[in-house]
Amino acid sequence: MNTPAAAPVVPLPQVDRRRRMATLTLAGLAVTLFLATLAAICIGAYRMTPALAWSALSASGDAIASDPALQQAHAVLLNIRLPRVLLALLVGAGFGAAGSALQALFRNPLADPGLIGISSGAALGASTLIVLGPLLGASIGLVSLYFLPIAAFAGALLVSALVYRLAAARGRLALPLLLLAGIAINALVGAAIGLLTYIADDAQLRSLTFWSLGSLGGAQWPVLGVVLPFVLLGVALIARHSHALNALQLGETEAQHLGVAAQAVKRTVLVASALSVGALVSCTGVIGFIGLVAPHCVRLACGPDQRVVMPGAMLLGAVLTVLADLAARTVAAPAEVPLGILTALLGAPFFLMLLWRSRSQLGL
Amino acid sequence: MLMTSNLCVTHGATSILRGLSLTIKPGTLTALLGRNGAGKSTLLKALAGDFQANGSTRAARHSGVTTLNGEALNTIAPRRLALLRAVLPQSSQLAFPFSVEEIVLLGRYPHLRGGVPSRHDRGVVADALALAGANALVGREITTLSGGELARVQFARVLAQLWPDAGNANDSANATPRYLLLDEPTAALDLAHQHRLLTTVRDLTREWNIGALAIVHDPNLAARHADVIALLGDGVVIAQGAPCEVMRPDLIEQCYGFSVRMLDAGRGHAPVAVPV
Repeated sequence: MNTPAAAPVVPLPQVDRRRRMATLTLAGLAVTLFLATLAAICIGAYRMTPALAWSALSASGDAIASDPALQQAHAVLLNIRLPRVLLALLVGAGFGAAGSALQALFRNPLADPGLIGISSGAALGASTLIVLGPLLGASIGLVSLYFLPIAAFAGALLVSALVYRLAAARGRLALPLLLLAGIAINALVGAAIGLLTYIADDAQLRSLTFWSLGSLGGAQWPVLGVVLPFVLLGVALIARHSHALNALQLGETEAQHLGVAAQAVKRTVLVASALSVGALVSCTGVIGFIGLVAPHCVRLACGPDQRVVMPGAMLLGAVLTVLADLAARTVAAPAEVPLGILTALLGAPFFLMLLWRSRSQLGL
Repeated sequence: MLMTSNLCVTHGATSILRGLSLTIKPGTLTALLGRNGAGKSTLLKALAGDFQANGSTRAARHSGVTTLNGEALNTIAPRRLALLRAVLPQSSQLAFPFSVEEIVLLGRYPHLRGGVPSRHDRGVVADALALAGANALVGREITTLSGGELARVQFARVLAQLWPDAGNANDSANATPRYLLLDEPTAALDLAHQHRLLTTVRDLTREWNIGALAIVHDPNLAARHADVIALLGDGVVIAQGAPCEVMRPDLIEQCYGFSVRMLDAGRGHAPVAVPV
């Protein structure tokens, strides 16, 4: 009955097939992401060839100073293009990771940071700080950069804890409750931000509008520097618990029986998702559906193993965001379409399709 | 030995278990019988260590001492506990389409370092599927299985969890005693699979030196396979012993509040209960 150590490798066809599929998918996504990033760097109001972009980045200071074309490309890349593309990568990867973690945690493919209100919570935290911060005597310029991600994180964390409390009991989760809680929180946040517009001044008002639509227009190096540690920490925490999240799919008690500290894993993953989402929303506004679409597509291709879904969702999320942002700044040039509008155009029909397919689960 | 003594559990104002004591010995299969709501699952949860894990059962209050091989259950770290006992849940529902093998491989979770299954782990998965009578389900997605098929896959998963390590496979009879707790393992199974599962569990108690507790609803099924039958009623064990001692009309009636008479089931078997 026991297997001798020298026995040939036992065929587990489905496991092996899915592992091959995962390798292929991740490799394909990595190549696609490279090409998308290259395209996003080269295309824009100021077009350049990949070769020019390369020499503008790699040439020495003297060579750049002596060549006006190179000088211009260098300036565009360093001040505008690169921070924006990097922020797009970060947004896509961060929302992909958070989406995959929330879907695993809530044991449901319909969980998304936007839909269940976590992004809204982050936006509310940030807007409250922007409008009320000066009333409390803080200088807005100083406050915004460093405290915005923290305020957004606090808002995101508050909402995720609230939603989880509401929709989960005795180790079970009620999907209708989860989505209804999302509706309620999104409505509440909409109203609260609406109220804030009445006490906001002009500059604050512009920031608030920006939050509700979502854009990568604010991408600058200092912003990236502030957001990056939050997102990295969040992603690292999620990645550390990938295997435990797999076991959690059996149910909370069952996972505990397998030796998973289920309560600790749940808490850490909620906090990690809120970290990532909060920090990103604080500098881009609400960009929806990336966290819904990316993990779902990866799961369709490679199966639900969180150790594959998470990196896959990060890659696919980054591809989608980089391309969507490229479209956002080129389709209506010189004007710019808010990125949140484009991701919603892509994601909302996708969500409807998912709803259609899970009708039986939702009571039809 | 897995042992609980003077176990009291109250849920809100209702008292479920009142000073119950039960011992599960390695090498034996104990069947737990009782009416609906008698507290069978609550007792199983206590033996599984669920009351120690905070949060999941916040509404219940409990007292009493539960020990596993002499150690207080609540002092054993989750990971080590998972190597010492496995629990088959009553029913389960999975949202994502994991494959049958992936689910059984999750049974190896406490054994895996870094999450990568070794050659031994892969062998265990295949063997556990075969032992649970589920090898025909290899390659299927979990969301497409019937209730009985899923129950067999979950059974294979808990077998994989308790499967002896490659190192001490030969003298597993002398290994540290481990425990298997089964909450209505036969509820979703057909007649043949019910008997097959309990036979397998009984055989494994000997081969692996494990103590097993199974909640069973059919006294005749329990009497056929168990070494010990424990009847639960009014929050305590009202009778406990070998099947031929416990299969008495008065005890069965006391347990279920339902009159039965006994029929001879042949030499070497406990009598069979039928309605009066």
